[in-house]
Amino acid sequence: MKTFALALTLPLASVLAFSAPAFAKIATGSTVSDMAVVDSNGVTHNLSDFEGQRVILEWTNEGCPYVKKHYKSNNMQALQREATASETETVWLSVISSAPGKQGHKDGNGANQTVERYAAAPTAVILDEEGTMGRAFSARTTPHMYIIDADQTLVYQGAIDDNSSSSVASIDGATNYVRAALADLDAGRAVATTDTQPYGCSVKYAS
Amino acid sequence: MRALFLSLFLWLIATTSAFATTSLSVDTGRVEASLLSSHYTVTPGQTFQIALKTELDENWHTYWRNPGDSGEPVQITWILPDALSADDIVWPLPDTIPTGPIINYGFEGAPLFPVAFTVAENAAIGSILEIEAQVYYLVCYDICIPEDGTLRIVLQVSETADLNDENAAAIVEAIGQAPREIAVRAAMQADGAALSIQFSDLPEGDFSDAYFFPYDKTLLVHSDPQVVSVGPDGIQIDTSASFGWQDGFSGSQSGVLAFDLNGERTGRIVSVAPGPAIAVGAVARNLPGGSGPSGAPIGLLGAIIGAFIGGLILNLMPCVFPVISLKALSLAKSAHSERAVARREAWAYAFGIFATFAILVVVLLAIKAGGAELGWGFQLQNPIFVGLMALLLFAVGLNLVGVFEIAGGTYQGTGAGLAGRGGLSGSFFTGALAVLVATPCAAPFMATAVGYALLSESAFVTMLVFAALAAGFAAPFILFAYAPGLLSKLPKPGPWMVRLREFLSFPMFAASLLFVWVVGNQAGVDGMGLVLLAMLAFALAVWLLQRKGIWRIVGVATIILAIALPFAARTETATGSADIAADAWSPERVAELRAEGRPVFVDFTADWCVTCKVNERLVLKTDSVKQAFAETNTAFLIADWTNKNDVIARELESYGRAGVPLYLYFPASDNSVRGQVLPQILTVDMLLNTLKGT
Repeated sequence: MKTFALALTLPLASVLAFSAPAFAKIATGSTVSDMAVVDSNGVTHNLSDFEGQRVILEWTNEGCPYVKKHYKSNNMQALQREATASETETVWLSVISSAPGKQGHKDGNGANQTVERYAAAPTAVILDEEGTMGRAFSARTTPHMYIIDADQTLVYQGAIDDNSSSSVASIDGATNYVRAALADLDAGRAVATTDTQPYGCSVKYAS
Repeated sequence: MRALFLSLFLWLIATTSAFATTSLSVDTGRVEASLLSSHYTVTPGQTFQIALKTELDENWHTYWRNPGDSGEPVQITWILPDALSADDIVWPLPDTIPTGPIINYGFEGAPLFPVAFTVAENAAIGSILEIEAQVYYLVCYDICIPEDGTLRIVLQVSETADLNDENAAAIVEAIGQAPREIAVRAAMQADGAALSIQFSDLPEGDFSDAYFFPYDKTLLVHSDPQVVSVGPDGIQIDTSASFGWQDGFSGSQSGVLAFDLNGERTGRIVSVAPGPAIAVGAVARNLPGGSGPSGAPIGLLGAIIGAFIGGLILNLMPCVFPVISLKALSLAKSAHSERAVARREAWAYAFGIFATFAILVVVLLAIKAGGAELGWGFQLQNPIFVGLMALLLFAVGLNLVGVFEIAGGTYQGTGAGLAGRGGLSGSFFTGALAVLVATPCAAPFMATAVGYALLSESAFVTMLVFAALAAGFAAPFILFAYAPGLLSKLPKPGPWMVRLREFLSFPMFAASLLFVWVVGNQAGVDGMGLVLLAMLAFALAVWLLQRKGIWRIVGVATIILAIALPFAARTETATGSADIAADAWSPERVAELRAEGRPVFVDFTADWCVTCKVNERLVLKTDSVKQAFAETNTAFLIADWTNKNDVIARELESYGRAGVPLYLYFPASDNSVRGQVLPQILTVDMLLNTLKGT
């Protein structure tokens, strides 16, 4: 009986294990599949709703020194305003994938207050405490940036700029990959740098 | 005046010696940092060591030169006098530090970072060297804190080099344990998202748990596992390629290959360049043990248990029903005679099962050793064999219904005939027949155990697992023969046995029909016609043999003709047909469809595989499933293994399987090269969930 139970649980356990959400990675240049996400005001959005608009995803965590570097210097807020003011309709989604109890986790009110405190300008803040959206995009750091074109193609994923230091002084003189990619898209060119190694703190998924 | 000068000088020496070689430690928060110098005094032109010692709070970690998915490496900025030049950090062996799905490379505890220094030849004797280190590191546990500090050390140039024993010992130990460069043969190939690295000419050590830490962050995906296959000539590591391959790597890439030596983790610095694969003799990508339903490797014990249970369940499969019921009938017949007789017959039955499995496995291994790509069920890929099976089952059916008898049996009450007959040879034959008709059915647990057995390098292991399978298959009848009281509960022999025996001929005919249908698919209507003709010849022969004189000889000749006819069957190229618009499977087609962004479902099937056909009827051809395929734009590929096919056999092998069915699903959002393995028995709900990604 014991061996039977053991033999039964082994394959069962492995089947269950394989049904956990995969830490997938969407290849740059491929189409982003639809998913439903909830923002800080409780509104559900489907990524497919944004077809025809450019979507920029920014993984964030208020406590992370690298996110602070971009927010204390107003670098991220300025980038958000620039991007959403573009001629092409652009949606900026700040995504919080921190699990409950971990650094950066926010509820709806907390997220809205943070946006006010930093005078940030995202179109919406997505609360992803289960980590589903993060895992679907294989978001690894905060900040981790993704740019999705109007036809739902992923055209950029990676770091916000090329200086991975945590000090504010490093922003000046760094090449901002997101700005460069948006400039390419606005000029009708293909994005020159499509993949870079993101830097920052690790996204605080549930372990 | 002189006294003042002297005491000042003495004080200078005293303080220099006291503070010189170990800097004051700086607590940066989570880390206490200090500098250790190997020498008190140095001579011009000498090389010596200064190490950064960092004592981390428990659970906190700092990062290696390639920090992995996130983080920043430890950085030292030296401010040195002209007379000194510093080399690079000698990095300790990193560890993989997982945080949820993210993997970093770093250190915990109290790592030492030695740096080699060289004194200029023209350094003035007696001069003081002030060395300043601005250190920076990101130290993380559940949160990350960037910390920095400034450390100072003062040394003197002298005529003799004065060693600081304590520091030197610590530094020498650290350098000894740090990975050093060695020369190995190595090559790497990136194929889409898959990256393979081979290492050969390796030093001594246990590489079964090897891990490659590349210096370049964009070489491989840090959060994906590295699967190691060990061969006699080296190892192969299979993992995922990162985006650095989009631009390609032209030259050698360096990194640290970690492995075990005498029970301790160690590493060596190696270089790998893109190039053709080096043959290291490693077995198929999965561990030699094959994998469970979702790719988890099973061990020998798991295979034996799985085989035994599979054998037990096999008794319930529809394929074996006609034969098992006959066996039950013969058991009932002998149940009320001597216990010993029942037991002997049970063992004869078991022996028939063992012997037939053994023969099949030996033949399979022998052919495979000759280089052919065969799997379990290989005998059914040959239309001649299938035709003969159909003829045999037809003959047994005729026998059961009473058209003829085998010499020595009697008609009434004892269940005469080949299979229903009493006696040891009858039981043996029943066992053999049961195995032959069982092959088209794949029981749960059987597939992975059979895959493990056939892919194992050791023939002993193969036979062991199949012995477990045979044991499980025979077990119920052995149990029955030995269980007290069970035998007497069976109904007493009587006329009902005759009716039952006659009735059981019909399932037997049905099994024969199945094989005829398979021949039809394999060898076309011509092959089918040959087998049907053989059956006709057999029936005629049976009638002739019951006559007298010359007709008996004609009868024998007709039997020979009947048996010979199926040998004329030839395999025709299969034309599959499926209701879902299906493509033929090939690895290229899978890659094409995935590049288009479509999810892909692959059905490894064969016409003689009853489990496959059942899944098709009950699941794959239902409306809701067909609709789900259309909605999700999932491509449906069929890998038809009805006839021998090397490419399919190799692909099955790579998933640790030796037979069909095998169902693979490649989601659109996943770049992994390996498909998700679905269970052998499909259900509509499970398949809908998989397709729709819920």
